[in-house]
Amino acid sequence: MLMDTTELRSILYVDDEPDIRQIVQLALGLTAGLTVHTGESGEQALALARELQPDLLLLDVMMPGLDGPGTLQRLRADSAIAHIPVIFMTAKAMAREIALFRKMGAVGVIAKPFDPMQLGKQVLSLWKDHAAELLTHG
Amino acid sequence: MGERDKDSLRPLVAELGAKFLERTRGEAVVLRELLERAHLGGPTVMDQLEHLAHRIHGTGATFGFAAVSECGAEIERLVEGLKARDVSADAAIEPQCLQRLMQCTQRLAQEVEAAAAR
Repeated sequence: MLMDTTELRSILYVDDEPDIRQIVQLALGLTAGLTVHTGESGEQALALARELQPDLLLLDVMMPGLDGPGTLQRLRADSAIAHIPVIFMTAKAMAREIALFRKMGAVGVIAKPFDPMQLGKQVLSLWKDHAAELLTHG
Repeated sequence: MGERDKDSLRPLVAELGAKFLERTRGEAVVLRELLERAHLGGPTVMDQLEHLAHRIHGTGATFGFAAVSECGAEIERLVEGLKARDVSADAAIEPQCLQRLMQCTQRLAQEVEAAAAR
């Protein structure tokens, strides 16, 4: 998978819940200095990813219609956006689910509910781990 | 992340939390209305109940309203249980379960008021 390992600048966050979209946008913007775009469905995630080419896609797992895993599958099948790393956000973040999501190709999983004050740190940490992994294994 | 960043985020989170409580106050009424129709059964009502309860559960916890979130979680669990037994497809909810759901909804409304008063 190709990725710009230098710096994380822009994120596309997709969740069907408007309150959570707002809080994530504020948290990542204010505490991590990121440009955060948002979408409300898996279908919109794919369209916005093509248009915006974000550094990272942060995806809610449980969404009506096309859910997080389904969106990831479609993303990987589209050569224009297949390279974008994905982090899942889910209330079901037990070890078994995390392993399954990683196997699907997610670079990380963030448990819900999350602490808005800590979210930026969590995202940056997963990004750093993924960049290091790419440097080690290519 | 500096403390100043956190300080600027806190009031914004609190403002969004207040809006969430206001909306959830209305949704507690919607839940009760759905339950009043739920004795007829039907997948649409079940899906609506589950969707609302899931939202209250997840978003409430993110804003730090633990008791409100727990009420949503309880309703979500009960509805998931009913759906797993496929009650919604062809039968009405049994009175005992309906009563439990009504109690949870009533408690939700109380917890919303308690959280808003803090």
